[in-house]
Amino acid sequence: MLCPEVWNFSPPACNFKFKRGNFNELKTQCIDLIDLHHFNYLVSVVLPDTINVPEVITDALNEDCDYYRVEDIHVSELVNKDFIEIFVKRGHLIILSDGTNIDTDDCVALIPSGHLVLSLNRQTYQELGLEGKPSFFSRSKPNRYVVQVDLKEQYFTPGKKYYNRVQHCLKENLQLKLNLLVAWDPPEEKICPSSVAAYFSSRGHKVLLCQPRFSRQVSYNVKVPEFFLGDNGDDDDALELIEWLGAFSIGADLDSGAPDNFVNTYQCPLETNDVGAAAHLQWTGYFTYSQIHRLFDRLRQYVLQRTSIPWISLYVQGFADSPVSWGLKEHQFYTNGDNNYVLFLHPTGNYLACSYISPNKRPKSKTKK
Amino acid sequence: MYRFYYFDVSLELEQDTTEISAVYFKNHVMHLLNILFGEDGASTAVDVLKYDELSRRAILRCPSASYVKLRSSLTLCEKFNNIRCVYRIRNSSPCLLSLLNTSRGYNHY
Repeated sequence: MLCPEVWNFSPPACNFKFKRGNFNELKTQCIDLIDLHHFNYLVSVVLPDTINVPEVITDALNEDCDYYRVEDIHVSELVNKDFIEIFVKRGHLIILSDGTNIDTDDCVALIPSGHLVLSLNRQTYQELGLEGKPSFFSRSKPNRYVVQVDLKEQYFTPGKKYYNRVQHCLKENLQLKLNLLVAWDPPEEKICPSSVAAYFSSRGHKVLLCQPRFSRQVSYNVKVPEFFLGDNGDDDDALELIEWLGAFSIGADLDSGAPDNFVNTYQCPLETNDVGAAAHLQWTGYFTYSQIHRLFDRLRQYVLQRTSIPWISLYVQGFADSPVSWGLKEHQFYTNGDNNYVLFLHPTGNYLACSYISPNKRPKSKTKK
Repeated sequence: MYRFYYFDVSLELEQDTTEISAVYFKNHVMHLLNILFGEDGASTAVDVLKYDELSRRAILRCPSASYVKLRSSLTLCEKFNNIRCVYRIRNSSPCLLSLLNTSRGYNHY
């Protein structure tokens, strides 16, 4: 007799990837981690042994990080030739649909490489009529499809069959109006990033200016884990450090944990040092990879000056509902929509990078159908 | 490879009641595990890393092997001291940093 499984339920698999190196050496750089992660929602920086954080670090994501929310816009506006020539082919443009869930709704994203990614339900995809692939995460019984259009391709111009077909399908077959989050890094400094908002406004759409939200907290009498950021570090120790960083960042109780405490037994397994004060900075909004890169460069310069600091951490959390995680890698929401990375920087130039993507495997049903 | 799973949960009650301390909250969670999975389930090491009495919102930690058991126990909870209640699991992740905030439901404007 076949018995259902009643005891051993395995948790969703997950994917932690570690990389170690020296950020002063070109061959062990971690730049891809930052530059290919297009949709950044939350950035958190922890600076142990610091009370006064230099303004150059806080201003990295407080200044020039405005973005826009364009309301009720039809997707066919994004393949308009003028829009492509002015904003997609020049500078770095990121667009993401706001308020859509990647597991249930139709989502749209545009990344700096010029790819327009449409993640559609089966009905929408069948109505649309463009060629796409079933989602990697529902390969056996496709109920989600991904259509990618390269807007920077040479043959994607008015008059060519492919362009006309895409424009016709998006205009006539897709009754989809979305709210889009838009951010543009212009190719030259003299061009204002708000030009993209002015463009959408001139086309008759409502555009709202949004700004990142910032919070700063300094905690005292903090015991920070020691961590050696060498080449032959242990991944388990790295996970313990990340857990401590998470517990500190959310404001968890780090002091009262003990093996015989009923409520909380958490104690940091690594050796800790009392550093006095630790600063925690957090920004939430919609950040381009170049803005994160700017913050990373400033943190890198700062950590090289502070020879006694144990480490500096930079945590970046992606949007849970973005259709892509890194580059064009497809992303999904299963029990969570994590596509995050954390960087630890050491005054010697060594770094530890850890990236985490939400589970991409669904448990297989073991019962026969 | 990862040892723990983390939950961001909040307890919502049908009627307002006296404040629930962290000890009572944890006791209730272990009681739910006991109901569904018996004594062996109730021996799961669940930690309440952070608890806010006003909003009854907590960050829980459990071994990753017990993730499904804890989540199902919280989902199937009916009552807290004879008051109808529900555990709203806002987020769960093997990475505690992910619980800082979630982009779903964030109001940009």
